[in-house]
Amino acid sequence: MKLIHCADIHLGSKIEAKFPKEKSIERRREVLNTFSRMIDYAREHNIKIILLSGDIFDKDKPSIKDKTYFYKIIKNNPDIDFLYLNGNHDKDGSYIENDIINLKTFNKENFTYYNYENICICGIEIDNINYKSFYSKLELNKNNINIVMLHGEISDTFGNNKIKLDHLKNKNIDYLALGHIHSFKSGKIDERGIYCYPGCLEGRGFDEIGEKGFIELDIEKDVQYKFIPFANRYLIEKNIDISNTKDLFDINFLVQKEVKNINKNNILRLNLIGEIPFDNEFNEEDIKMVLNNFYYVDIKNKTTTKIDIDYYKNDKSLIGEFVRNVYFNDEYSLEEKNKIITLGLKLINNKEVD
Amino acid sequence: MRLASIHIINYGKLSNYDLKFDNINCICEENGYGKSTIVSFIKAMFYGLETLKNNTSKFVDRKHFYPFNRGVFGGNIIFIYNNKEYRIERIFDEKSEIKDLLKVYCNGNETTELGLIPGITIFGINKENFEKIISINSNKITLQTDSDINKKLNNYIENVSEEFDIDEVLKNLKKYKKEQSDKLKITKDNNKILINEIHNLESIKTSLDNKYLQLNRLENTKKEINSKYEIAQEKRLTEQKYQTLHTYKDEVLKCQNELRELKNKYHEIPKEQEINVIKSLYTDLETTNKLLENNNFDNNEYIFLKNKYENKIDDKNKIEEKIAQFNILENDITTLENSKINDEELQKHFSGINVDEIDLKMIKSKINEVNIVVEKKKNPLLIVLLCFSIGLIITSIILMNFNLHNLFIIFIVFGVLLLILDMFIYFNSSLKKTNIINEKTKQELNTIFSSYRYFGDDFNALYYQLENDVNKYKELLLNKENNEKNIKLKKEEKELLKISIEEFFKRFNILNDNYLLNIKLINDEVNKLNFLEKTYNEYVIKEKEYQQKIKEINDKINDFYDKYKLNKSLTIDEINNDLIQYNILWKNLKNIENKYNNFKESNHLSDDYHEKNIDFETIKNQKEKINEEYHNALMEINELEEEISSLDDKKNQLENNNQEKEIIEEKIKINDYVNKELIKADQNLKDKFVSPIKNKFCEYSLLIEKTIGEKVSMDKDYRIFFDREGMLRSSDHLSSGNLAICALCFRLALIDNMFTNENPFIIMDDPFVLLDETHFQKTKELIKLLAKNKQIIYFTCHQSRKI
Repeated sequence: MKLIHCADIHLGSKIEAKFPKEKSIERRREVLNTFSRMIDYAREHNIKIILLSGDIFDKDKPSIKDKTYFYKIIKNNPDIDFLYLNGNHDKDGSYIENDIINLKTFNKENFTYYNYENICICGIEIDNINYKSFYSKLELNKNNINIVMLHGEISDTFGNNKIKLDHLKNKNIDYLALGHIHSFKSGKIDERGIYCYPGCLEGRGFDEIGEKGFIELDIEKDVQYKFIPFANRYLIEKNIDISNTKDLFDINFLVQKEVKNINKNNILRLNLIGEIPFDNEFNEEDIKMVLNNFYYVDIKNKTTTKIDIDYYKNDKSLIGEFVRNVYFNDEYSLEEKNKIITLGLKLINNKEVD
Repeated sequence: MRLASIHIINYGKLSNYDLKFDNINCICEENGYGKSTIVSFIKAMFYGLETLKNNTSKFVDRKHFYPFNRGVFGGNIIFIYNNKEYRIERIFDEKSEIKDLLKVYCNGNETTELGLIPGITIFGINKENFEKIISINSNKITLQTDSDINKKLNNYIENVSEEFDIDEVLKNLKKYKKEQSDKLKITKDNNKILINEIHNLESIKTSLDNKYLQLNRLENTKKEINSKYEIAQEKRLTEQKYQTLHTYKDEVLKCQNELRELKNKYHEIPKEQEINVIKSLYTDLETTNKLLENNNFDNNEYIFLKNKYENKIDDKNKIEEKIAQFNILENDITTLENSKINDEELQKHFSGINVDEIDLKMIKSKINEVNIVVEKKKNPLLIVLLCFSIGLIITSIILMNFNLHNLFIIFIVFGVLLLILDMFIYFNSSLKKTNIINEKTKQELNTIFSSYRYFGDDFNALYYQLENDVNKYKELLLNKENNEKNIKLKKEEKELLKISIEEFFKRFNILNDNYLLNIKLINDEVNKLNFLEKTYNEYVIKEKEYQQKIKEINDKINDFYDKYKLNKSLTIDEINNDLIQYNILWKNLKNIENKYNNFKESNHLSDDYHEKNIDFETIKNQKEKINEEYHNALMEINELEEEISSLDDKKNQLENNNQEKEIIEEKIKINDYVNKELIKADQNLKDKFVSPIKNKFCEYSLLIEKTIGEKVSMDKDYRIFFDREGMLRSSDHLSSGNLAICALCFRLALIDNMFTNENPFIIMDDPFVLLDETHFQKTKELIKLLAKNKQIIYFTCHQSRKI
């Protein structure tokens, strides 16, 4: 039997603040669309069970529009069972449709069990009351293939949205279907069981970089899993050292070379790093211009100004006096010293300051 | 550096004015002489004049010193600098410095080495500082340096070359800070707005909690009421079914009543078949009556024709034969008359001549005579001679073949001679003899033939034509005679027939002589008579037939009415309609009964139904109300959700704004640090310069101590203090006169430090007006002392201050 395990889809989610409004709207639409595509994938691969390990919606009170979209997809696929565990973002109080037969839910009071042949799937919603006690409520038949659904971060301590793996050892768990962490992650619980975070379906900001998708489970005698990269586009962050460049032309050349092998469909953040002379002036927008074939590019100038203090050591002019004063002033941090000297030199040399 | 001379073309009140300078120059003239004009001119030669702006009321030098006589505005100045003689020539425009003309000469050659503003190149200071340091007047003198002076000092002292202006940099920093502060203010203002908006949207979002709960409650209520509504609707449906069943029942009863009423109208309802028979009988009756009515015959023409022809046309066939015969005769006569023999051609030859009398034999004999004469021309001697000559010629040819040339010549000569002889005889002897006879006969024959209009030389041919025509003409005359006899006989026969035919037509008063037309007319009328006679007979037969049929039909109809005891006033259509109605009602009754039974059975209805009291409308209203409430709540949520859909964007915007704010704040902080560090650096440099200036000032102050009577000193910020009764006091406590002396010392100290290579000239525009006589005298000594190594140009308006 095959299953899909996904989590943290965050339908209706807020998108990266830096995105232009139209891209934000498009990305929100893509998040919805990727969820729909995943259901198509399930149908095409004859998958009859989809595990939703929390945070299907981004907000504690998702809009009726987003919820209706979710419910419609479930209702339109009556031959697929959707096992839906509320996450820390899926709170009560919003619009609910509770008479959908193929939507199986869980509660906070106790583990809810759903059996499919020899596969037993159970789950419980963790809150600030049951976060310590729920471990003891879990009872699993060792002869079954046992899948447990939880939403929280693996931790060594107790807490709301925290899961202590130690307490789940030797509980006959074969597969712990987790949600909460937005990147794919897996590991062992004990000799028998494994845990997996599928991560989110689509990255929404530069804190969700890399491949995104879901986990496909193949259960015969044991549980086999594989991560399926499925996002419409990925967010990629890359550092480029421009220390050896002299001007914008050099920078553009280097940047283009560095991103040559990256798919243009992706969302790119380039961190320009290194030490450059104060007169190596460039504008991030100029670099964006040469990368306009990418879906979206964000440029972060994290360079520092190259200051050769020996050069100013014997400089008797006001510039020398200024640079030396700042450089040897311990009241300033290194970053501040860099910025003060850069701005001062630019102003003294009548360069443009932004 | 030393000023040599000036020449003013026109400048203020001065025109064509020249002044030469020594090491010390004292120009003592009354007020209004033009001392300030000369000072302004010297300054203008080195720095130019500021453009006169339209939008300012400032009384600038360009306007102030524009020549009173409106002549050429300018002049020149000559000075020694770096051991070279320089000459600056300037012609000023009335308003704009762009239109000014500037020429600089070095040792007589034009040069650009002093730049557009020679004062800056020569003195290294701007115009304002020139006024402060080099040009000293009686106005209050500041005892401070500025960045330009400092730079100059620094460059000289430290031997560096620094081209930037620290004041400009600080000004730009201030400007930059202001820009950033403005941006920060805008960002903060925007943030305030955004925070308010977000707060409002968050409030709306919070309010959605209850709305969602309310919607869920309404959803449950809606489900309950919908369920109730479905039950009520079902009950209502059952009630409606019973209503339908009752309707069917009512219809059955109604139908039964109608049938009963109809049955009562008749003793026995006639059968449909019989009614149809009677109906068809009525139709037949109607048809037969119509036929009888239409069976008419107009006998007037019949009687007329009958009277006209009855027993009068027995010999019509014979008459027709006669007419045919008559016509044949008429045709024959016409044919005969038309077939007259064409004898015109022969008449030409034989008109008025009896052809029997023509003596063909005589003509023939004459022709024979002519023929005999011709035959006589064939003489046998001539023929023998001809043969012999030919024999000789042939023999000569044979001899020639045997090469017997002599014999050949003899034979050929004899042969030819004989041939010539033969021809001679033929033409001369025979022809001459016969010609006379022949001509005479020919003339006679010509006369004979021409009398019959035959012409030609071939008498044999003429004879044959004559003979032929004579025979033809005879035959023609015979035929003509026979024809005429025949025509006469036919005409007589025709006349007899005509009499007989016309007698026949007279019987019917037909006098027309076109017998064929007449007989056709008679035949037509006779045919018509026959036709009318036949028609009349048919009419009589049909009349009898119809009357018989009508009688039979009426008998049958009466039998039908009698059979069913029907009132005679009832028409068969009424009876038929009743029967149709009866059948329809019967059929309807069966249908409705079936419907009733089927409906009852299919809906499981019983006869003992009692109406139940269901307030369907109330439930329906409740349902509509809850649906409306649900819809409104949903709409409200949708609207609120739509409203808060911008919340994420606002938060993003706020996040971006906060980042922007942090960046700006960081920039302002850095800006402040830069400002602080630049001032600090500048001050450090100042500290380095102040010492030499201070030392120089002290040197001068020793000289002025005697003058002002107090010990004067200077701190690192160039602030001047004086020691009075053991206490240091600021220069503010000095008298104006003493302050002017201190200021002079300070300037001299500055000049000494600033201009280490070449001391500039010093212009003093009556700076000591505030000094009393004693102080002035001491100051005068000081100036004279200074003039040893500095060029002094001193202006005063009073003799008491003359140096």
